[in-house]
Amino acid sequence: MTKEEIQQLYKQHIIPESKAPYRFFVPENYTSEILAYNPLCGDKYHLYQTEEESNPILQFHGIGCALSQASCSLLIRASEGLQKQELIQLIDSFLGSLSLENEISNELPESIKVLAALKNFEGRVDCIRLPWQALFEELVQKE
Amino acid sequence: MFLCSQLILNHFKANQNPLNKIKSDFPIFDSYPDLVYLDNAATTQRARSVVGRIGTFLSEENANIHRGVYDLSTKATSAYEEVRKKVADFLKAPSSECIGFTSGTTDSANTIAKGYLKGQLKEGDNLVISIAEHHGNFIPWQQLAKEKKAELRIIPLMNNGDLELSRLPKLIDSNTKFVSVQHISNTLGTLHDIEHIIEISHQHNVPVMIDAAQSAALYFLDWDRIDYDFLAFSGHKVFGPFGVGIVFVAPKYQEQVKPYKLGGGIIRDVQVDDTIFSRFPYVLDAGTPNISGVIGLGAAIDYLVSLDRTPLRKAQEELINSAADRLSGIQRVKVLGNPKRRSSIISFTVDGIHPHEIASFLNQDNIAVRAGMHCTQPLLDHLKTPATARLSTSIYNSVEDIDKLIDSINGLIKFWS
Repeated sequence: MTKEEIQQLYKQHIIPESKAPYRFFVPENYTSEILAYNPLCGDKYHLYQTEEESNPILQFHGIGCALSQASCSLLIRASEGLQKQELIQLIDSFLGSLSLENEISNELPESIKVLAALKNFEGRVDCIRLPWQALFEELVQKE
Repeated sequence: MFLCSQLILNHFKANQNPLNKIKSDFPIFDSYPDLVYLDNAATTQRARSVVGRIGTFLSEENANIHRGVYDLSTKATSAYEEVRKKVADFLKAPSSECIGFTSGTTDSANTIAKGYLKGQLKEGDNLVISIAEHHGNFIPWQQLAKEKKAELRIIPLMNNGDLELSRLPKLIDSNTKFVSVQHISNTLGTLHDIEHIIEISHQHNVPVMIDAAQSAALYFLDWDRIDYDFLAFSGHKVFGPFGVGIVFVAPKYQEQVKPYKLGGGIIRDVQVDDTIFSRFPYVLDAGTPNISGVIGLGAAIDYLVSLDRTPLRKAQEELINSAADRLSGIQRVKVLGNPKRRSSIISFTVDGIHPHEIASFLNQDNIAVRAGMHCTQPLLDHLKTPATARLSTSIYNSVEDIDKLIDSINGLIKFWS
């Protein structure tokens, strides 16, 4: 990606999302807590899940770069209203889209496609993948 | 006519500039002439002579060592053992038998932890390291202490990034079996006073290991002057190849270094029920060692010896101190630590911009710096800083490189505002 392309994506999407992250708080009650931690860089988020009739409601809190924070926020936003199976399918599709071998899935919401487009931002895919991978492992593990 | 003269003059000036001569020793800058490489604490670039020597060995001299009686093998053995001598001379060690080859500084620490200290340490003993250590010089001692139910004692840090060495005499007692410290902090750039640490430790007859990963390239590590007991550095941080390093062991400790990786090449006799092993340093060469890596390390040592390292080191210290001052002068930038003596490394943060974004955006301007914890999580936890951006210079870096860095950071801050 060129410097201009990255700057544009940051300016329009990543910085605003990271500065006003969605459902960014520690809830009083939750049914499970998922750690998304990258020990190499120090990014650390806690995803809090409250499950109501297979409909997971998510919040998150933690510290990390603008990209991982925006990625967390967009994940929480995209998860809203989805049943557990739909959420697993969304995450699976997103993680598949992050592979350089795959096209970005047309089934993804536009906001998530923007995030997936940053897979060409060298060295930063782990920042994007971090919360998605952690949540995916938790959801699939508990199936 | 004027343009032609100017070109000749520029060419003349370029060849007169010793930095250009040094830069031309590194082929990476042929491929990337605009690269501002400021990640030397992670790895230095390879010297042209190192690349050439490895290529020659692999294409013209390649053979396994020590057990062959044909010409190629005996020549390869001689070349390999010659490097041991070169490293010994480089360190002013009493003999080449003080030098063991490892895969790098971390492997060297593991070698001494498992091959030496494990046999000395018992429940109730203690060993001393600093809070600033790289994980490679932290975890091997931490885990050994846990295994042996010994105490891991930590030299604390002062606010400026210097070790609080006034605490050291209280940390060492009759149960202290080992001290291991880095020479230069790979995160803060602090040049630690290893002579003082060694002096205090030796007053209690405690051996000291020096992690010289960040200092071996430009600092004189003369054993006959500094009197360390163990010392380690990596090839790839002295312009040599990846996957090779050294561990120095003083003569009085060599008999106590036992093999921790077992296999052929380190034995005197193998019977069905037992094995008699070689002595240090040959006891480290289980299996086929990294022969081409060692040969390349020898070329790196030759290159270092060919340099006039004292003025280069002074120039580096001036460059890094100037960079620290300039960075500190930028609003929103915080330089971590202000040690009495800083060498070649600065960690910094920019308020409101994560270090990963700093490194990624600098990369867009062809500036290579590192972001993260730099394998020093206990240090960063102590500093209550989750991550930093880190610049680290070497002999081919110039004021112009720092100018570009400062411009890029200013641009980043403006973009982010």
